[in-house]
Amino acid sequence: MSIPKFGGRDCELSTTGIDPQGRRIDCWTVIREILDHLEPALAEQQVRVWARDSRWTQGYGYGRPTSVYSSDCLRHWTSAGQCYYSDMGHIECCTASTLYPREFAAQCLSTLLAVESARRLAQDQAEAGTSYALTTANVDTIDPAISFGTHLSISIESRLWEELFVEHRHPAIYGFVASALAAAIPFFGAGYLMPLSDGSIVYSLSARAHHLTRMQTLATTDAFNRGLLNSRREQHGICQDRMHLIGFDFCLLSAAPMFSLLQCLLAAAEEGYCGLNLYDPIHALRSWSWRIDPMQGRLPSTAILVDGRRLTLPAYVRELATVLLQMCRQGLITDKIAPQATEMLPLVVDLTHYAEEGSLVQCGRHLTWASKLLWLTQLCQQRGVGFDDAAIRLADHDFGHTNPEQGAWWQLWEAGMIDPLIGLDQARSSLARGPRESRDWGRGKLIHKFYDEVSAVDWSYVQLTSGSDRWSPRQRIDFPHLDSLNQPKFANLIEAARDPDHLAQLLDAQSIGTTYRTDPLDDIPGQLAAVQYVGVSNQAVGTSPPKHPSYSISKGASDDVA
Amino acid sequence: MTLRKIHPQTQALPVRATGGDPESGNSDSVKHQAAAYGKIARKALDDCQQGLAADEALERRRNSSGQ
Repeated sequence: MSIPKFGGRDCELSTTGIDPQGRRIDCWTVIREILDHLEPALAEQQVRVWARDSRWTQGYGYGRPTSVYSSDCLRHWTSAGQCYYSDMGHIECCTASTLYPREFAAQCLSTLLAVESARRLAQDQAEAGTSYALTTANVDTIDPAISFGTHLSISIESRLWEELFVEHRHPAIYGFVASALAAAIPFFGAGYLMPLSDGSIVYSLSARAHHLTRMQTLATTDAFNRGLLNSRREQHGICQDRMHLIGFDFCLLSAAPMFSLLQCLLAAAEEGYCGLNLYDPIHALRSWSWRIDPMQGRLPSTAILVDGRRLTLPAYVRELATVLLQMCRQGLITDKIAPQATEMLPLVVDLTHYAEEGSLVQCGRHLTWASKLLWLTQLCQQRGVGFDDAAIRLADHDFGHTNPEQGAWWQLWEAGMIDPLIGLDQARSSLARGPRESRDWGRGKLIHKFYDEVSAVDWSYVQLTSGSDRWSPRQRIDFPHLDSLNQPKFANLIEAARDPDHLAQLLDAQSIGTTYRTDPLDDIPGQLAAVQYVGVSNQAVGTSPPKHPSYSISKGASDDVA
Repeated sequence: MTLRKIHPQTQALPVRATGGDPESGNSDSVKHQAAAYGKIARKALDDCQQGLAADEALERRRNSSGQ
C-alpha cells in the first residue's frame, strides 16, 4: 500500500558576482549579500523571513552544519514554508513540500522570484557597477567536473527504502526504479552544452549525466561519482522515508509532469511493480542524453531492456507513463497518493510523440532541453557561430538566469513559446503562502504569527519562547508527519492562539499536535557567540584570504532572545 | 487512445518535423524549427555589451564549488 507522495525541491543556484573593477567577487560574499536582502525584498509581499544564524564561520568552515551529510548554513525560513540558505558556495532554495504537481511547479518558480527580488535589491545597494548573478544552471561555466545539486525529496514507505538500499529482496523493483529514473533524468533535463577535451561540444539533455556513474551512492559531491539512487537516509517524518534524488536538473518547464511521473513510479514500486528494467541504466541514461540528432532533433539512441527489446528514450518514457496511467485509472494509484496524475501523465505521453518525431517546438513548450536547444540554435544562426562559441556557452548558462532581462526562458514564456503549466500569479501566490495540505503551511504560519517569539526552526519543528526573560522556558511545536498541522487541521487553532503557551494548551486539548516544553539552560551551545573568520568575511572582493587572518567575536544565536 | 487531443494548445503550434534534409532548409531541421524563436532572440549578450570577451565573461562567472 503506497503512501501520499509529498515532495519538494532543493536547488543550488549558480551564484556569482563581479565588482566595479571587473573582478570576480567570491561566492560567499554574494550569497551573504543576497540572503541579507531577502527579508526586505519579500516584505512588500507580506512574507516574513526568519533567520537566526547570521554567522559566517563555524562548523564546516562557514556555518553550523545541521545535518551529518550537509554543511548548509544561514537558513532563512519564510512564512510560506520555504527556506533559503547557503550550501557549498551557492544560494540554495528549498520549496515547501506539496502533493500537487502544479503546486510543485509554482513552488519552484516562486523561489526564483524570491531570490531575484533579493538579488536585485542587493545589487542596487552595492557599489555602483557591482553585478550579482543567479541562474538555475547546475554546472560551472568552464569546468564540467563541477556540478551542483538540484535535488528532489519525495516521501516513500520505509519498506520501499529498505528494499532499495538494504534488503534487495526484490531486485527487479530496484531495477525498475533505477531504470525509470535513468529515463526521467534526460527526458526532463534542462539541456547542457557539454565541452569535450578536443574542443567540440555535445548537447546533452541532462546537465548531470556525465556525473552519474553509479547505481547508488551516499555522497552527493564526488565528481563523476554520483549515483542514480542516493542512499542518504534522513527521515522527514514518522513512519515514512525520504527518497533523495540527486540526478535531476532544474527543469523550468516540466516541473509538474516530472513530479507527477516520479510520484507515480515510486507509488508503483511500493505496489510491487517491477517492469521496464533496463539492462544498464547508467549506460542508457548517457546514451539517451548525448545521442540527440543535432540536425533533425530526434532521439534515435536505443537502450536494451532485460526482456531483449531496444527502446528509444521517447518510447521508454511513453511506455512507462502509459503503464502508470493505467494504474491511476484502475485505482491502484489514487488521487490521495498522486493527485493530478491523470492530467499530467497523458501530457508526458504527448511529449514522447513529439520528441520521437523531432518536433522540438512542441516539445519545447514543456521540456526545457528542447526549448533551450532551439534557443541556442537560433542564437548560433544569428551570430554565425557554433555551440563551441563562448557567447553561446554563456547563453546556455544564463538560460535560467533569475533576472527576466537576462534569462531567455522568461522572455520565451512571456512570448507564449513555452508553458510551465502554471501562471506567474500562481508562483507569486506560492511565495506568499505554503501548500495547504503540507506541514510547511503550519510552520510558515507559526513564523508569521509568532515571529518575535521564534527561537529555533527546523524542517519538523518550531520552537517559541514563552516569556520575556532570556532563560524562560520554550515551547517546541513538532510536525512529525508531512501533513502535521496543515491548514485544515491548524488554521482555526492558530488563529485563536493568543501566545505560545496558549497555543500549546490548544494543541494539547485537541490532541492534534505534539508540543514540548524545553529549557534554554539545557541548550547553551546554540546560543553562544561564534568566532568569525574576519579574513574571509571582510576581505576585499576578488582577493585571496590574508595569510594571517584575524578573528573577532560576532553576535551569536543568543541575540534574538529578549 | 488519442491522448494528444487533450492538449490542443500544443498541437496547434506551427512547426513540426516530417523528415528531409536539414541543410536544405526544409521544414524538418532543428535550424528551421529554431526560426520560431527568432522574433524574441536576444540581440546581444550582456557581457558582450559590456565590452567583455565572452570567454573572459565565462571565466568571471565561475561558481567553482560542486555539490
